Formats: sequence, C-alpha cells, structure tokens
Amino acid sequence: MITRNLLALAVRSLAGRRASSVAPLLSLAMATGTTFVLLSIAWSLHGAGVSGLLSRLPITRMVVTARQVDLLFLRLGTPLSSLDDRSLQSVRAIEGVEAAWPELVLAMPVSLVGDLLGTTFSTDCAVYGVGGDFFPAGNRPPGFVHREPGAAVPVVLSSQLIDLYNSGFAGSQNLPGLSRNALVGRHFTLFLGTSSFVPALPRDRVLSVRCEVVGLSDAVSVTGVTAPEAYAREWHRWFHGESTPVQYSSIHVEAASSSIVDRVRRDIESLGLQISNPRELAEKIALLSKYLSAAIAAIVVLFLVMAGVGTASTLGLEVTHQAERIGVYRALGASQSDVRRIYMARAAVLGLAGATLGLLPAIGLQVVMGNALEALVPIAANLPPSWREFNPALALISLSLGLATCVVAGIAPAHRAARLDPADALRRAGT
Amino acid sequence: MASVTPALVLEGVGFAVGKNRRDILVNACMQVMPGEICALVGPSGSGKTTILNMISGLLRPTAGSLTVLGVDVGRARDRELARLRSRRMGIVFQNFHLLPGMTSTENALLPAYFGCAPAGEYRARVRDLLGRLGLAPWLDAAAENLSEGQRQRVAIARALLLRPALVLADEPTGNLDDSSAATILSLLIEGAREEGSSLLLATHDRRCLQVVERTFVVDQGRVVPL
Repeated sequence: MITRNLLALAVRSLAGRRASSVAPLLSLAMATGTTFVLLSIAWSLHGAGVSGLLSRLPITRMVVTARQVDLLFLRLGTPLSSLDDRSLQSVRAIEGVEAAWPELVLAMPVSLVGDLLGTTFSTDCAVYGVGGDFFPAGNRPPGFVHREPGAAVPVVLSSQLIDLYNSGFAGSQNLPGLSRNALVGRHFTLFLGTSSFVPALPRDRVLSVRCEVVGLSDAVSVTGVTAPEAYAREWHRWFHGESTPVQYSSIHVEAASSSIVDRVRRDIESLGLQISNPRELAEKIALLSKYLSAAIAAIVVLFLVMAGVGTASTLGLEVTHQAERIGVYRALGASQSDVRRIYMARAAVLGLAGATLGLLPAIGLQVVMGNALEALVPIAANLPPSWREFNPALALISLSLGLATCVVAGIAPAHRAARLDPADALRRAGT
Repeated sequence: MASVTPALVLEGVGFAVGKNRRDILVNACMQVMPGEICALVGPSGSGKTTILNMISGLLRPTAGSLTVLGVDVGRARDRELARLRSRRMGIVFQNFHLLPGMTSTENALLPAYFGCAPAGEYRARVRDLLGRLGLAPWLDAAAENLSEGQRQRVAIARALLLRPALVLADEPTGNLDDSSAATILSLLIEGAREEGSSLLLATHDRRCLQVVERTFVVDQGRVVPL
C-alpha cells in the first residue's frame, strides 16, 4: 500500500515541477526516438540477409574479373584492365586450376519484356553467355543447349533472384512468393540494342529474341540472363561486327582443392586480374554489416548516455532545490528508503513519459522516411519490408532502453535525496 | 493501580555538534505523560528546536537516553523512527513548511502518504479537520496563497491527521498577534485533547505558559522544570 502512496506522491510532485521536467523529458524523448529509428535500420540490414544468400557458395570456386578500383568495401566498377581470350588462356595455364569458364558479357544495351503473375513487366538487364561446362558438375540445367533456328533461346537465371524477390520485393509490393521452379518454362522477349538508358538506336539495330527459362543456377550472374555461349557470340558479331573481340565479364575458376586456393589466387593476381571468392564476399558483407551494427549501437549508447547524464544532472539539481520538501517528507514519516523510492519512481515516471513521447513521432518518422525514400529512389522498393514496417519488439526495446536510462540516471540523485539530513534541510529552509 | 508509561522520557540527554563537539544540550531530563500539555520555554537559540528534532528522531542524542512512546531514539533504526513519526507523532513546524504547488488539502494529507493505508482514505478526515479549523473556504487554495494564520492552521491539521499520540509544536505562536496566538493555541490544545494526544510546545512566548499544564525551561544547554 505504501508503495502506491509513494508512487502517487512522486507523480504529484512531478506534476508540480513541469518546467524542470521539460529538459530531461525532451532529451529522453530524442534518445528513445533515435534509438528506435536506428534499431529499425539495423534490423532491416539484418533482414536483407545478403550474406546468407552468398554464404552457401563453395570456397574452391573463384571469380576472376578485370582489376577495378576499390574504396574500402565499395567496388567503384571502373576497370583498370580487360578480360579477354588471352586472359582466359593465362588463367587456364596456372597450375592447380582445374577448370576455367568464361562468362561472356554483351557490351550493348538490352531490355527484357515478360509476364509474371498476370502483369507485364519491362526491365533493363545484362546478357551473359557461358558454355555448358560452366556449371558445376551435374548442375547444368537440362535444355541449356543451342537449338534450331526460330526456336526460343534457352536461358538460365540466377537462383538468387528468387531469394531476393521473396525476401524483399514480394513483401514490399504485396505479391505472392515464388517457388524456385516458378520461372522455369516461362517465356519472355529480349530486345538487344535498346534499353531505357539508350532508347534512340535506329529500329533496324534492335534485335528481338524470344527466350525460354530452362533453369536456375547459383553459378550465373544475378544481374541478367545467361544464354549458351554460341548465341552470345552470334549477337556480339551482329552488334559489333567480326573484328571486335569479345569481352568477358568474369572467368569462373575451380581450384583443384581448397588447400591450394591461396596459391592459385596469388598466381591469378600476378596476371593483373582481380579475384574474389563468393564466400569471402559474403564474409566482407557480413563484416560490413557488423561494423554498421556496431556503429549504430555506439550511436544509440551515446544518445542514451547523453540523455542519462542530462537527466541525472537535472534530477540532482532538483534534489538540491527540493531539500525542504525532502526534509518535510522525512519529518512526516518517510524513511530513507521511502525517499529513495519516491525519487526513483519520479525518474521512472519521467523515463516512461519521455520514452513514450519520443517513440510515437519516431514510429511516424519511420513510415514517412520509408515512403520518401521509395518516392525518391525507386530501388528502395526492393528493400526488405522491415525497413518501414512498425516492429512492436523494437518499439518495446527502445521504450525499455529509454526507461532504463532514466531509472539508472535517477539512482545517484535518489540516493543523495535519501541521505539528506532532514533537520539541517528544514533549518536551512526556515532561515 | 497500573503504572502509566510516559509518552516521553529524557534521561541525561546530551547533544554535541562539530569537530570540537560543542555542547548544545547537557544532561537534559524531562518527562511528559500521555495526554499532558507541556511547554518547553527558553530564548531563541537555547536548543528547543534541537530537543524537538531529537524527540522526533530527526537527530539522535549524543549522550543519555531518550525514549519516545516506548521507542529508544538513540538505538532505533531509521525505518522504526520513520514509522514512529508517521503513525504516532504529529509535528507543527516553526515555519509551517507547507509544500508550494500543493493545496491546503494536499498539504494536510501528506502524512497519510507514509502511513499504512491508501492516502485517499483520509481525504474526508482532512476536509473535516480543515473545516473545524475554519479553513472550509480554502480547501483547494494553493499553500502559497494562504495567510500566515491560515498556513499555521493547515500545519495543525496536518499534525493531527493520523490521531497521533504525541504532538510537537515548534513556536506555534511565533509571529502572531495576541488574538491570533490565542486562537491557534486553543485550536492546538483542543485538537490534542480531542485525540487524547500529549502536546509539547517549544516556545519563547510567555503567553503559552498560561494554557499548559507543565513547563520546562531550556537554558545554557540544560532543561529544568519551572
């Protein structure tokens, strides 16, 4: 019963000190709101699951590309060398390279038009060409062969497309998920020589090609469609002529065993080429994600500590100003622990009010930020829905952190209030 | 005939402060019986408030024995002394110490927050007490808007709220004119008598001596019966 009385007294005395409560209330509100927004961002990063998608790739499988400019974790995409038949021969000659398969990329604008889930869609994409033995043993999709003229061209799509679609796009657009084989057997049309970026090419320079999806593979590039190499060479000649040599986007290399991977890497790099292992990339992304999460955690802690210090100093100042009140409480029957509980309850009420005050606009801000980002950057629609969806667990965590900060900040002032000499406080107030 | 336990017993009580242990009180002895109305008189600074603070357990004697309502103040734990103050003692402070921002009713209700029942249960008694003390029109007035006499009455209501066995009043007539002082004294004494409480007035006002049953004089750090 006495606890209820003390809580009532704490709330009553807080209501009588509105002006001095504003500063800690606002600082806690800001800290809690920021905590919620940052936690939502961290949760979205976690939800994207990119590292999970890549982590299943084998370590002996490496991807060789032309050397590009890197800036920390960002690959700027500016090639410093080219990848051609000579590079392919050099890679194949390295001891320990069991196989090397080039991935030819068409250097031309391409757009794709097709139907999916009853909707006609159009997108720019890249076109790659690979040989049948490009796929890891036994994983070559059936039907991935050169067909007679006039038949649909067999193409393979990256199975990661399905993962990305299901984990992000489908949810954000309220579309049903797709099974891994949902795309197999579907037809679409490639328009070679035109894209949304290069729409003005003469009509006779655009080639329309009907394609059929014959399978999905982890090995092919996620950024386009992959056709048998002979088709890609044929389209290259049609667009660029006989004299222009083909360029490869990458050469996939299989090392004989995991124990020689490091040496093979060094040999390939000595050719002036860049090499990456998909698992290393996954690890890099995971590391980047960890750094970002740590940075976010540090910012959250910083905000909470700042709010805590501000609250502690305000509550401490209040104890000094309320010496008479504390003396009266003690003289009227409050024990030291009663006074401590009153001031802890004050801190808790203040924390709950501040955290709630900060959380409500932060939830609104999250929705506004999500919508604004999608309006400004269309690709943001592909982000996982957790980016802009209200997550009650994160709200509860933020609220608890705000409340805990205030309660911790209230410990020292409450302790000081409890230890105040009541006779001295009353004497000073009377003079 | 059964012996009656005194409400208050001081036996050789001393109180010293500071590094040099300056004596404020030396070998003080006095006794107040249940329902007795007593006064503690002496000039300003003689140590009357110190004695009241020791009796209420806000200060502890540095020598001797002080027993209040059966509780040894020198040895009792903080919680025990707090319980003594909240449930068995009422205090009227020299400067009233009403809390600003609270109404007359809320101020008078304060001791109930440290009792064992919900404070709200005492609301009716507070209103009744304040009404009897002539404050019915000012029940919801903020403490800072009351006159000195009205604040004194609120302080008396606060002291009598939980029907204490012992009421301590520090300079209750301090700055009041004769008429107001007589009214306040009569309210205080009537209230204490109605509740069967002992009353100890600490005062340097000779007007109080006419209405009390026994008087103790505090002088040069010693307490002697008048």
